[in-house]
Amino acid sequence: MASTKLERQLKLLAELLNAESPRTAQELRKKVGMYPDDLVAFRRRFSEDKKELKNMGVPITVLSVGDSNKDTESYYVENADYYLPDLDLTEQELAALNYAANSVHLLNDMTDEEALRKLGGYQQGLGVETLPSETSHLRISSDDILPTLFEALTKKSRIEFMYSDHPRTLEPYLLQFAGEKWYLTGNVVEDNATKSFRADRMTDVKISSNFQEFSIPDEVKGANLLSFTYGDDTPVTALLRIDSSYIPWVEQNLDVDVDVEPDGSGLAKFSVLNYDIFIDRVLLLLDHAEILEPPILRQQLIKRLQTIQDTWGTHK
Amino acid sequence: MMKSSERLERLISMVPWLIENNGASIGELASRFQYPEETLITDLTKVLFFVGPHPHTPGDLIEINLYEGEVWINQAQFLAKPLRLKPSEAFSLLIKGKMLLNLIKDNPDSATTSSLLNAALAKLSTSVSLDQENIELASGIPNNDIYQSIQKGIELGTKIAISYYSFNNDKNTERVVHPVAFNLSDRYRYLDAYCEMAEGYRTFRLDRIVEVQNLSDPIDIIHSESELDTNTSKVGELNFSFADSESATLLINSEDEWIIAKYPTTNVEVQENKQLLVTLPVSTGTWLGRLLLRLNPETKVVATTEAISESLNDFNSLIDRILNRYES
Repeated sequence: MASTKLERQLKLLAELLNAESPRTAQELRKKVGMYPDDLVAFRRRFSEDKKELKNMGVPITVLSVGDSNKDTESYYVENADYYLPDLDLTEQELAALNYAANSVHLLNDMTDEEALRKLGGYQQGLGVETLPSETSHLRISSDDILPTLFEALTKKSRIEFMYSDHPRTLEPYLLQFAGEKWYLTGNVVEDNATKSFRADRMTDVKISSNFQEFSIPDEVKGANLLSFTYGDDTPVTALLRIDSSYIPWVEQNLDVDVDVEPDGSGLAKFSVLNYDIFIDRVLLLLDHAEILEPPILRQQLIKRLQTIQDTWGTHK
Repeated sequence: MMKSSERLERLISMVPWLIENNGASIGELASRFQYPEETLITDLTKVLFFVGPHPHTPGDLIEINLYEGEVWINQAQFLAKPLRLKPSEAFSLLIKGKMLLNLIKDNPDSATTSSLLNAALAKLSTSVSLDQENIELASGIPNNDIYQSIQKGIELGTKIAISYYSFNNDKNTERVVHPVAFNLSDRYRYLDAYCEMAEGYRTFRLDRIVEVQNLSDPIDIIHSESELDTNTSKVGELNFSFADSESATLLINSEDEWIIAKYPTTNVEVQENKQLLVTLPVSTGTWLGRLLLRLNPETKVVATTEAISESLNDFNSLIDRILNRYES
């Protein structure tokens, strides 16, 4: 029974790939020669076969000819959309892809077995024993909408989505994984401005059916994850002195290169457009850091601490 | 028994490779395409053999030659190339490849793998019309001396001495640990290790390891995966944890509502002027002090448990210490 179904679906695929023009369901039924005589049973089975082929990725296009009568629908597969372009992967390159697939895990457990079989073969377990210990532990999160965003990026198709209760239309330029989150940067059509969006906050994502709707600029700046660089305050460059014990924390959490001074302390510069948030970050370092410049940030930090002291003293 | 959809997927991937390679052994096909040999032979001889475009005359049907465990295939032109990768498949392979490249790029022992992977990813990107620069992955791996020293300890199986900063107590402790593995969780990278001082497994946040010294002492304990399971290892002993017994009640302004989303709370009451009375578990007075420094300066601490109240007595002196730095 399963073999019959397999043979029938292979024959259907053969007809679709060999057809020089779109075929109606009845034409395909006749050419495949394995569908039931009963019309209702045929339609059900034909529909199941189409669905399974589509789920595998076979790009079946349906054309409606004339009115909305189902018999006037015809089907075809554009060969260029079906066949994988020649990649000319060497066996060693394929092994390297297998190595990557087995070593890095996506949190939603996307499987690469089918993809690697298409490319020439899947080698289970390759890589995991020979990588440094940390790699086998490495997992990166991957939201379900990411393949859609990726598809829009590769086809240069616009997407529509909801973000913070607002509808947006975006021309995607850059998909970025940073700080354990995925971000999509692109041109917001409504504003004609380049903006970044957190992928896990995008909802109702719809991809346009058109291709090549835009071109991607040469240099795209991705999402900026430092909140003190967003704001309406007058832009300033802050110079921060950091005690030696805190340098690793600053380098990793404030994404900055710290110059180490002869006494072991560090100096780092930041572009600041939101004074309050920057002072928040500096105060996380307690008395282990000091804003050296500009005076306005020093004064604002001092004022905040004095107010806290007043409140605290009164309160106590 | 494999489902027919699984057999179909394997056949349309396997046939192009078989044609390209001008035949192969049944054993190799079974291994390369995860196709049980018996099912593979059945599908080749009893299914694929009868497939071809209409009118299904011998000249149209796929020709299978099976001889002494070797198989060749002819007249399968419509299956001569594999099906394109789905967007999810191409995406998954590309990001895994790029992530692995990030991990091994500075390791001279992995130069060949890097080069091969680079070449494979370039070909893969071209096949989906993607400029690789349009996908960026931050590995989250710091390229600094601390990371390199720990990595060396893991690879050599030797102990390391670390100076670790406790965020809760604002103090450094010196420890000898047995580094086992790095871990990535909730934005931060951690070191899983056995700590001699604590006599148990502990998790250390990498950005709070201030110094590392490689020791020559070999690690003489066999560390198993189960001991490092984050469910069983004592994560939090060195990092921030919300103690069940300690808490504080704060009167906050509406602009500081974010703390309700960021931290667990046990009670929230709306007060006059849209102020909120928030009770939340806290770990130490230092932690609460840090929080107070970030809230509106007029925030009031309405109540705390005794231990927190005692440590908060140092809060004023902490502010004095910070202000002292700004006196010059």
